[in-house]
Amino acid sequence: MLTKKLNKVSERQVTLEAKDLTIDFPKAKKSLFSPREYLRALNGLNFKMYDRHCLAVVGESGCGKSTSARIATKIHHATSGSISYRGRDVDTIVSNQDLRDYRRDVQMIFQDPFGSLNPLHTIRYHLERPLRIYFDITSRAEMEDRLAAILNQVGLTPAKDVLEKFPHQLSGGQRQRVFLGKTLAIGAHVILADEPTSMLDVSIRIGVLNLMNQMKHEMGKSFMYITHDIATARYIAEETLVLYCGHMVEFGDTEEITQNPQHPYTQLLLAAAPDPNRSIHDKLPTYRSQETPVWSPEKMGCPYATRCPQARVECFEHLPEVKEIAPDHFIRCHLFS
Amino acid sequence: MTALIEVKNLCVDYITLNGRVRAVNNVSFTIEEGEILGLAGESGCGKSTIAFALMRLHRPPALISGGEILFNGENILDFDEESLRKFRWKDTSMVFQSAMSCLNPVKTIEYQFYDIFKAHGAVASRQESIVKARELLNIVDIPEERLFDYPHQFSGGMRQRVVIAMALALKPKLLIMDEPTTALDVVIQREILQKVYQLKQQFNFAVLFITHDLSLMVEFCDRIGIMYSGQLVEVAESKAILTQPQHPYTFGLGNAFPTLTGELKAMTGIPGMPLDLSNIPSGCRFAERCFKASELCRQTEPALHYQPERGWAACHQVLPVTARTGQDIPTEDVY
Repeated sequence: MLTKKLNKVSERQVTLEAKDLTIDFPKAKKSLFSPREYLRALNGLNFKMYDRHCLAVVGESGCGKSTSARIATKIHHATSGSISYRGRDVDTIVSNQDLRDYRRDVQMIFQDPFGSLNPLHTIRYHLERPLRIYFDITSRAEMEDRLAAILNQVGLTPAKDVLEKFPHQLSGGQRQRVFLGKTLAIGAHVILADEPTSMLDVSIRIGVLNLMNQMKHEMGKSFMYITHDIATARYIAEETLVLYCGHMVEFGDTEEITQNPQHPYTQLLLAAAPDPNRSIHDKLPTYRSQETPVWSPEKMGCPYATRCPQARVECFEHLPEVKEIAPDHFIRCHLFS
Repeated sequence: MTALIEVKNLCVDYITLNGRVRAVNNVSFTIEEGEILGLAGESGCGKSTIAFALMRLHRPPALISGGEILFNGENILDFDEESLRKFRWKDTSMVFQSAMSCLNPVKTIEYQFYDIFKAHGAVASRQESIVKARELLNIVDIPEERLFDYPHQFSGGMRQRVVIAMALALKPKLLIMDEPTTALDVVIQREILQKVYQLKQQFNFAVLFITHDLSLMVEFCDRIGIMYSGQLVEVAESKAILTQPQHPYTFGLGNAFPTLTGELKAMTGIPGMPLDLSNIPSGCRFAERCFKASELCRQTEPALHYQPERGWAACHQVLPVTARTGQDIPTEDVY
């Protein structure tokens, strides 16, 4: 049995917190004189990440999963709303020193381990640089010790050989481990992992997830695990956030969400996920029309209303409020208000 | 039921600067009429190479270097260009992973249907082709009026359904699906596979289904073949693959998929890396990563053996029926 519950609810400390996060992206103009139109990628998103916990962000492609992580790393800027890190709004982090400190604490891991390491440099270069930039290491011996320790922690042994290798000599799983090692080298506390395992082979995937679990428990890191595979989310995450079309749909304890989903969309998503205990003939819950809408600032109502079998008039008229239906189980649906 | 396609000792080589690399080594299996056979394995294990070989789509540097592929008793490897042209799409058709790159972006869907019918002389006029194409769009639940649209006007799931409709245009006996839903969302994935199953019941074609998602495969297939570094290591009924694996590799794969329901167990995956095909050790190819490997495994290569009630496995140390239930092998300690 996995030991997921490490902290008691009362002891949880919030690391990253999003409040009413909204972001609009400008669309290409149809002509020079037509008014600028916007696409709303995230709309009023709220979530909390806790220390030593993993938050899984699940949803279909284009639902804003990566965008939320990108706002947290300051790659994108929110149109309105805010993300705060340990109580401080990340928008107020502007000076070079503050930015450096923030980026040391909050790191991102990308989906494609083949594109994110420089093919012209050895693993030593990739791991040494963050150590040089963030820490004052002068002696050669100390650097070697540090590098070896990091590689051992992420399960890349023998460290001496791995350091001299180039990225193309490593497998996808090993490269993802190098990346996790990099976040360890920097000393990051919060790691935003954007589909870190979706390009890896099945036999290697679990190894990387287990390493993330271990980093969480033994080194006290917290993770945001962005994925479309809800089964792996159940495996490593304490909390799960379900997104649909840039809106929070359901947020809460992972077991609660996967075993007792309340929102019609979460129910559909879970019923569709592959599971060997099911059969392909099992019927999906009913839903209408298959197109996921593209959200814009002018649109009203619940984004899922067009597909929801239980949609009522009010669902098309205004966006439901977020409601806490059980302790730590939040839902955004008119059926519960 | 009779065997629709029978693959015997198929070998496919890639010719590289460092010599020949055998991507598929002595693979034999059969697909019966109306059956869904799955091929699972890690990337680079040769599953797609087999799919391409079944339609003889390989071009140099790939080369089918041995074996036989019997389709209704005829060896496809002996076909000349003209009979191949007739065989492809009429008897066996294929659905690829990326629907967008299968469709011609500058032609309407209607034209692309016409193209298929015309090439096989299936229609006398454009009008007849349009009528037939409408029917085909109907069976995959796409509104008829979308027939004159271009591929970019469809969503990803619809495009894949258009491709499936095209694959079924000439009523083939075998449909090869090479990771057909990997790029799609889970809801659409399930919708499409349910549709394919329904059509299979209706038109009674066989399906060769390739994916790396074992959970999905267990739901969809009748039988599953597990491949490791170019070889078939186990073929069994789909449920048995997870519940009673014979080969330690199958056991490991089953241990790599967390489930959505039931108790949450610590999973382990498989240690080590897939084999480098240009440098193959003697003995069993999986021995290096295997928890049951013995001296015998490192020296002699195991052949596929049939176990009554369980299926085929290529292993010297076949796992007992109770392996998964955990009495003989404690899952946490194995890897």
